Amino acid sequence: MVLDPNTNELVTFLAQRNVMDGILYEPRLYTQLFDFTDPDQVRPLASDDAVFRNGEQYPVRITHLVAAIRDTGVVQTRDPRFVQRFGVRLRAHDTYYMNDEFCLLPLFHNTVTSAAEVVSRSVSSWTFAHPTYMGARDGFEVKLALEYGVSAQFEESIRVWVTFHGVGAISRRPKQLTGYKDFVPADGTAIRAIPIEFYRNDGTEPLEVTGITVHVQAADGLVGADPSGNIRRVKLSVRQSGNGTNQRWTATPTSEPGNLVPASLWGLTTGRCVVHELPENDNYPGWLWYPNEGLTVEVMPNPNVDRAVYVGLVGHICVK
Amino acid sequence: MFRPTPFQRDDDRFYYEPRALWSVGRVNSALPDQTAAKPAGFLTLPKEDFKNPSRYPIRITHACISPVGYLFANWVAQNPNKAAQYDQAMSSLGRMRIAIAFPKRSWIERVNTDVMSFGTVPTADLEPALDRRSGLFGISRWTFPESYLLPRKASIEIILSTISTYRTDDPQVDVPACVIVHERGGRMLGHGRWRRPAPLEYAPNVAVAGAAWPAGQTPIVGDFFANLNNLVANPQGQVFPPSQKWPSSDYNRQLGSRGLDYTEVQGFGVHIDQIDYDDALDKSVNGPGDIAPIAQRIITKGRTRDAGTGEQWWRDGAPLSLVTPTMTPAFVHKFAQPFELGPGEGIEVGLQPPPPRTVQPPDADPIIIASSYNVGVSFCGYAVVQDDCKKVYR
Repeated sequence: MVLDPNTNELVTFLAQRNVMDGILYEPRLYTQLFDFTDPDQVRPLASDDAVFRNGEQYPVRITHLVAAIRDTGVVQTRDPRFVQRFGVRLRAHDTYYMNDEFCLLPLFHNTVTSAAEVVSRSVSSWTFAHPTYMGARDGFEVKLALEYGVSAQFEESIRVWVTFHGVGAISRRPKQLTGYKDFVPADGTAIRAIPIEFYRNDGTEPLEVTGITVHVQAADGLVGADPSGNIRRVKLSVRQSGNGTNQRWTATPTSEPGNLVPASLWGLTTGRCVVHELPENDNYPGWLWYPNEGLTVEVMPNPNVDRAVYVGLVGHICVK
Repeated sequence: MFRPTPFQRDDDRFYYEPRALWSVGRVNSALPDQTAAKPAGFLTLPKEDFKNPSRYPIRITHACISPVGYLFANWVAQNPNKAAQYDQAMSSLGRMRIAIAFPKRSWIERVNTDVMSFGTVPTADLEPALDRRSGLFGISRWTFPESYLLPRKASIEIILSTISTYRTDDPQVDVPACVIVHERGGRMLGHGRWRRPAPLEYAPNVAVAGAAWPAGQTPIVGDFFANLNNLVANPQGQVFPPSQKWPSSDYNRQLGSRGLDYTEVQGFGVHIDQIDYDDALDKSVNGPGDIAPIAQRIITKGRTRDAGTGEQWWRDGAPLSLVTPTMTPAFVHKFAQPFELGPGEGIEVGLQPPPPRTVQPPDADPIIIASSYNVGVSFCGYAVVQDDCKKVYR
């Protein structure tokens, strides 16, 4: 069938294909902050029961472990290198990974994620293992907040860009949905949203969304300072509105409002976090969690390390 | 991530054991020509170092070229009066040239090739976004191109050497290091057996004229800021002190195989916690740029105990950066097609230093300063071993 591109015939044809069948994949990030900044903190710390657990009705395949130090904005506790001084073990069914002792986090880092020096400071990029489908007129709801607010004394505003990459499901043409939010001192650490209009699929065909990129620009008003931004300063959460599961892609403890996950942990492809790709079995990478399955993450710092570290498990939900 | 090929359980004929052939040398453009046909300072690394000494063929997958024994990674101070120091940091690797000939004098290129012109693969640790610090994670890693089959009760030994001290005030703070061996299989699909973190011992500052890099041929005198000791032994004369060994009892206690007849070893990683060292060195030495990773200053040995060929995976003394081609501070080239070295076959490697530099001091005549540089070269891969005994393990 040859369609005339100058008539509505093509539009109608494409619109009819907004409904697709097959398996739908959506990214999932399960993250918890393990805070040892209180010297009296119990060591080691175990994750909350509900965080690293599949709370949905479809199976989830976990493919990566990620970790990064929390950027507090305070010189004494923000040094990202201290991720080297935390040991982690994962426990499921009384079996431990990678060892029943706490192996240091850099030993998990088995994926090269280093972009150019001036890039990786401000950018996290994640190319999904499977593209997620976005129907026509669907949108992404992006919420984000700063780890520490914009300083009214030294900074004016910080712009955060969040971009989704993809291709048209029919036309196979590249598409990009980009939005941004300017944080000003009055925002503090409150949760803000990027207007969904930035991310609406206004085309006539579904999109295969293949990845996400987060970019944090340097603060305006910092004359003479390093003009590269700081990706560790932002955390965000994403939900697809329209088709799909309509669930947030992120899971955190209930004490974390908005299910926000640090932008540095979204950098599985290029970024600034420890990225551990789980081993595969029969060509299927990682672990399959059926509903209500999960595990416990335990973190142990070296003595006298008073930092807070994020640990996350990353994968995708598979919806038939 | 580059994944090793899973072991084919119906393949009874072969198993694959990691191998690295390496050498370290110092090139110096002030040295006289070896022959009239070669440029000044051209150094041919010892052929014996790149010869396959075993009775099994070795399949080479990667080449690593690494600066060796440097305190600083790069120069950021642009001071013409300090041009003598120009080739005294890791980053001068880009001014080197290399010539490689495979068996039967098959040269990889007709002219001595710029080192950086070999295609490289991403292998870097992240930069820490902090001035002058060496790296974010301090990790070196080798994910084997082929899984290595390890029988039950056998163990792997990766040992790190002492750290050689410098003539300048080396901070000598604790530098803990640990090693992990990644295995495949089991309920969680994988497992890691590790040698717990322990501080590396420092070697004393005893200069021995003409002493060689361990198992190498050419004295290493370090960079401008300090003389790297040629000997890297502790006061007891031990390059690999007992405190840094990895007992087989400790390896086996961790039960990676969980009672299986054998486990698939997929690679190993080495973590060097350089945080305190970097911070202390930054305060004590007014260096020119980023502090270099210690992975190019310490040496290693690796082998299998109670199984395998019984051979060393590489000659003792290889800098860590030369035997970790997956993550390393070295330059890594991945061969498009792995090539084989039969028993007794070897590779020839020649190194050409940067040309001498002409320096114009203020109010004086120009002077010519020779360039010299410490560099190591390795070829990493695996031995293909015909296994007549594997049925015993099953």
